[in-house]
Amino acid sequence: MISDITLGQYFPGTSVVHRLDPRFKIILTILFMVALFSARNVFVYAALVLFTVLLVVASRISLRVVLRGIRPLVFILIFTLILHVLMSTRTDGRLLIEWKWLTVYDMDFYRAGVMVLRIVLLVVGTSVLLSYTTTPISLTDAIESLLKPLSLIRVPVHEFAMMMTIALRFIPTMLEETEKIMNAQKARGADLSSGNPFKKIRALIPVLIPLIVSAFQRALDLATAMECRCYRGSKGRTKLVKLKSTPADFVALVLFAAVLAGVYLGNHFITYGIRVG
Amino acid sequence: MYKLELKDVTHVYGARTPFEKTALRSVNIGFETGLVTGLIGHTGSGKSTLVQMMNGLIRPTKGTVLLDGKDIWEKPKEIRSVRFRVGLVMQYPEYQLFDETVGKDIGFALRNKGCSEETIKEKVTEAAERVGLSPAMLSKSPFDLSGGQRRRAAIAGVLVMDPEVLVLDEPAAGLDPRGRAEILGYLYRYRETKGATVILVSHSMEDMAQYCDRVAVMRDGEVYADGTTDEIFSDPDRLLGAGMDVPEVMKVALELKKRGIALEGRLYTVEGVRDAVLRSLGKGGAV
Repeated sequence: MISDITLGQYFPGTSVVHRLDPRFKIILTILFMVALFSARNVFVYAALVLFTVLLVVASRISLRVVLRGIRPLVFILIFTLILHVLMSTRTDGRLLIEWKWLTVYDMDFYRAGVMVLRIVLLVVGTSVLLSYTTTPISLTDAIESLLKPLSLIRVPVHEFAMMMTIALRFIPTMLEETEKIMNAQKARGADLSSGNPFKKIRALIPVLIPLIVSAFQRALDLATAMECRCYRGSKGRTKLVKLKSTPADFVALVLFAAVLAGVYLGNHFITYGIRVG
Repeated sequence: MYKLELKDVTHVYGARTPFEKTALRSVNIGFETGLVTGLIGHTGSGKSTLVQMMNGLIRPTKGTVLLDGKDIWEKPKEIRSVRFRVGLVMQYPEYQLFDETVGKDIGFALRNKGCSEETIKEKVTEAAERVGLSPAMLSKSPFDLSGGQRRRAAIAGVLVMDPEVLVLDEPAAGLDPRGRAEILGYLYRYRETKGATVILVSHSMEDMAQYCDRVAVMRDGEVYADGTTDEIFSDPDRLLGAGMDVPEVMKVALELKKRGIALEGRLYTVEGVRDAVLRSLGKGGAV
């Protein structure tokens, strides 16, 4: 059910990953993503899988939680797999099936596999680095801090960060609210889980309308509450908790940069094994 | 035999995650046909979880829920039929209103049940009447009603199913004293006319004292005390010791007793205390 969605949920802890400066974690995530999408060689991918596993171990997030985060993606993964195998127009490798316009080469399977692996590693890596180990508040603080230079050209960085904080803050609230409304409608005999997809969407109307109405109401209440406390945007505003970087952050940065460099070197120098992409 | 019975029920939220929390621990409780049973307890005592088990919104981690002696989870696919028999009014139920008109919204449950349009129309009018909504209200948008009217419309949306068991989670929360008395009065009358079994969750000891035949006190996921209203309030120290409150009027009576005035009887209602005081004065002969 709804509570199974762990994507974007913070798990309190004191691991190395938890303690990193969130600004660094964002940069590390970007480096990780670039590395992931730059990899061209099967061995390099194997190394990245190992690196991701080590990352999960270092964060002390249980494997069960990580796997549950992937579960909502299964449909997308299967879809990706099928699409890459059947719809690929590339004609390299060994021809396996030829039927009318449909051609399947063995390389299609490798490419599809790599695509799926990329998505899985992307979700696991980013959620372990960011959502599972960083509170939403410190995350937006970090984004605000990283984007600060843009305020020189009058980009409303603070307001943007505040909007994100509020949006993130209310995700769990809205989920809770959704569950409550779903329960209320189920208590009146609403059938939300059976029937064809079209019927299922229609069955959600009694849930969505109250949810949207209450979201607007909540937004208005929050605006009033903020005005009552004289909130006026970024002007003259100070922070209660200042972000501080430690030597560990720089070590992590060097480590991730090394991984990225390793990926490029691996792409370049490993000439045996299957090359994908 | 109990109308509704929960046997050895345990519930754990977020099992095997860092947020694991046991909401109910081996709870045994039964509700007799036609009686109003009050459920009281602090926030987090497990009341809401218990209530959502009664109509199968939550399936207990362990234990059984029996309706007329039959396990409601015998055929999980048919759990909806239980929900039509056990009506649950959630906390702040006005948030569940969604349809174009109040009438359509009240009829939502019956459309889910597959009733004919005529039956729906008839029952909707009846249900609206039971909570004091005039027929003119039925054609309005639920979002144009006042807070109190929305609450009533939402309650009518459950009453429309003619449930044999009516479960109410804080039905009067956030209403002014008059709105409170009205809503609870309507619900009390529903019990009278339909002979329904009613379970009333409330924070208010006054509500318990005034409307309930039996009271169950929940504490930390367990049933702390369970008995007739007389029994529960005959031992105020036990309630106060558990961090519970007693009705205001009872506090007055207890203070009077402390000062040496002999009071006997139902000291938890205003009428009871009044009679006791009069009796005590009559005995002393000094008026």
